[in-house]
Amino acid sequence: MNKKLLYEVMDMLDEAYIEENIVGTNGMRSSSERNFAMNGKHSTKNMKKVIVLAIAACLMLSIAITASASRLWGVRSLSEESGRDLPEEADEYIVVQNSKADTEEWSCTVTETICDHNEISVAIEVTCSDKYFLIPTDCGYDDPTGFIDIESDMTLGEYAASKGKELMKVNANLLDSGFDIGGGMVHFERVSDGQMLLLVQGYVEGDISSEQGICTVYVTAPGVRETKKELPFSVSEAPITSEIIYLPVDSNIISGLYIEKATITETPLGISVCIEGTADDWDNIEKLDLVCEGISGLTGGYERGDNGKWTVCRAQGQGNVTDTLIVHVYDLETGKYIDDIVFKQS
Amino acid sequence: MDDREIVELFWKRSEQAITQLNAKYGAAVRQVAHSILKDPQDAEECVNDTYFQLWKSIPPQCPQYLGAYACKTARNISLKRYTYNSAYRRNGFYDAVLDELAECIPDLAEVESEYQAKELAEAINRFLKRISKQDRWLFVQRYWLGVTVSQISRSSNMTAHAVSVRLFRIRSRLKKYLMKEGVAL
Repeated sequence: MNKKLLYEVMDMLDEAYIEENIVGTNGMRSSSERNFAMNGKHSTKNMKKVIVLAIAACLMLSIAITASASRLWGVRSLSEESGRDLPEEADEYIVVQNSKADTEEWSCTVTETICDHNEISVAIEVTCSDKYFLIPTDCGYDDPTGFIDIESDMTLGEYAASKGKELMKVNANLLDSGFDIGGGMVHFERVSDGQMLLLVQGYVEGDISSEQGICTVYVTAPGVRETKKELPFSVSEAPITSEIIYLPVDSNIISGLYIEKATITETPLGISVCIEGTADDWDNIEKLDLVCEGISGLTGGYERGDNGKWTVCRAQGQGNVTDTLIVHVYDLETGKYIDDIVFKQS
Repeated sequence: MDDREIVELFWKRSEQAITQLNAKYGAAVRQVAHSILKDPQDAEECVNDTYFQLWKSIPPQCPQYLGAYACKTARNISLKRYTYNSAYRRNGFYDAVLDELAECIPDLAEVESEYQAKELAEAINRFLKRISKQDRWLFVQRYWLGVTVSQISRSSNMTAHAVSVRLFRIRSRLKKYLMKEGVAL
């Protein structure tokens, strides 16, 4: 491609955005603006904080939702909204749910689930009474309405007040789901003031040992007594359709690391790549950014084992699997290219 | 001092213009140069070159957003230095950042004319208007400024993984948007 032209394209970025995002803060963000880790994307640590804040649990099962509604507000549409297109084959493993819990002020419903050996995704609809205005849990009174894609000059608090409503924060997680969940995130989609859709994802560390789980939904708002609901759900694990082992051409190509093998696993939800090896020093692996050629959208982190063993697992990828796997290695800190690790199918 | 007053100082050829500009936008200009060049000495030289370039260009220019104008100038000068520095290196980091972005711009190889580049830039600007402020901040930091994922992670309190995921999703949405807008050339 013509890289010079792409430089030029980026040079034509609207100056208002540069003013807003770089100049307006003298190159630094205020802490209130910077702390948006929880806004739509939640770390395990953050989710645990919410658990501590939660008060009581109560569960009610209620009416089943219709298939058409679940399709509209289900796993596929929410995945797409969050930027990830599920392959068509995934549809077979989307399970329509009928689990609902109600309180006086709010209610929540699991609409659909999907899972494979790597991840569980649960689509949830939360609604509240006219008295409240739903926002993601880490948004606050002083945050701009743009944080939830409402165009106005008001803060969320002002916006809610202008409609005579109080803010109701919502969150959900799979930490007490009964599955071995090592982390996760939540994608929020606002439908209206009193309706929000959540796609709750959990990264599975062990095996999917059960077809049943629990999703915990939380709200916080003035005057709300029941702040937590647990919703049961079921899953149908998408099977592994292929698993290929690759061996490195040169196990020592990256200084300080010994690379043992890579495994590419495919399921109807996508591709996952796990690279294993040992390191003299954990920092040697932690400071690297690994990019698999030909497979886009991979996400995931590092796992640390005993005696210097490490595993890098990236899932949710899409692309073509061939008999050669090339992994571009960059310095995570500086972005500098280091080398390529070339693997051949064993 | 507001931007209009600083620009007036430029037009009057008062050296106070540079002093005031540095006081108001020096940190942002330095951040741009440092993000692209990484090397403090190179970055400082580019900051000085930026001020000299602004001195030459205002007048006749009368920028609406003085800070953004200064940052854009700093970016252009820094990228020239970066290109020079990395001419004999394989895969400089900013090239890797642009490769990441190119993934979501279908058939970019065919974007050969300035007109098409302008059309693409305008579509990206429209897309940025549609997304949330947080996502816009991430996009500008990563693809305009070339900030590393780990740096963004530190300054946003997100994990590096979460930053990567979010950037990926922004790129996916951009790709869809460009296709919908027919800018997929």
